[in-house]
Amino acid sequence: MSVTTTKAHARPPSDQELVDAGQRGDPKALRVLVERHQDAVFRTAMALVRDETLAADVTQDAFLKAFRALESFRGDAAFRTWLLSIARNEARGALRTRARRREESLDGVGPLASDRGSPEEDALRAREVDRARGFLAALPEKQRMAVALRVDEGLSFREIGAIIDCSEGSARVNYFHGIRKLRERMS
Amino acid sequence: MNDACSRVRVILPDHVAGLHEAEDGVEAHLEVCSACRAEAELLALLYEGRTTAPDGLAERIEAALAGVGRPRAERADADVRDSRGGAAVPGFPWWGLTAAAVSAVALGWGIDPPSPGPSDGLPAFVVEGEVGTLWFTDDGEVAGVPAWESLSDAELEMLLDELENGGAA
Repeated sequence: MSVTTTKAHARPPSDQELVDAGQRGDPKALRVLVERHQDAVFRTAMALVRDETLAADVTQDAFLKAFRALESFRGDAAFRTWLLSIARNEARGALRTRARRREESLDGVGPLASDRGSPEEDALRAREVDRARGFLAALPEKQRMAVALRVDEGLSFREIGAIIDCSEGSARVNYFHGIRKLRERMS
Repeated sequence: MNDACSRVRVILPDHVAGLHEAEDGVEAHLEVCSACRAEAELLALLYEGRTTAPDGLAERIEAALAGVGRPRAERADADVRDSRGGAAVPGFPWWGLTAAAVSAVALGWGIDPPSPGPSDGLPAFVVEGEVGTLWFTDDGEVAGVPAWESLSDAELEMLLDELENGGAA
């Protein structure tokens, strides 16, 4: 029976239930996982590669790699943490590939452009948002990742450490250093 | 920065994202602490500006994943192709199939079939093989374990080239 079509479910299926269903061959479970986590994976990729097209590619590759390896996923970490770790590795690989190809330089990547059409009365706020995100994009990688994963995804420092491959304490230090720099630059 | 600030700043991102209840004391602290208020404002700007995946990305991923999650026997060759570059998606998990399961596969060059001949009702070029001895090549074809010992040096070089470069070199 498909976990995603079970009428008896009074609540959305958990990630682990979806993973179990995916391992049993339920494609709908994989689709739900994609819909549930694509934004987080995309943002994690963006935090590293700072390019929407490349981040979309990384997002796709991360899901493909995760689902190929789904049989080996044993639930030692939360699925989201595991998936974002894969996204981070894919993004780093994509950056290495791009650097090798010299298609573009990271130096040329400025603050993120906003695609939101703000009303005139919100223009100042929108500019401040873009400034903040732009400064975030310019932080050193670990600080940038720690801040992005903490603020955007609400992850714990322990989860962040698992994703960016450092200790919980180091994740915390990177987060607060990043926030301090952002406050200095925004003031 | 005092202990209250330290405690608040750890949970401030959750508060800004609406993940903490009002009774966590953050609001009360922000009313009396301008530094934490400034940090909350920064976090609110960051949170407000977080991006979302572009439209159509989920569909693109689903297209690339087509076939994953279904037993091998139900997938068409086109299912295993990556939607971006048309390359095969290698290493598909063999969900739904046990190691003892048997699948009908097309024979490729240099393949040593685990069973000696075609099954009844199948075309001559189709043989049955143990699932554990099969894999997808980079061009999306299903292949089996090559008979390494029977290959000449030239054939071995050709096979390695095909595996590594898709035979383009």
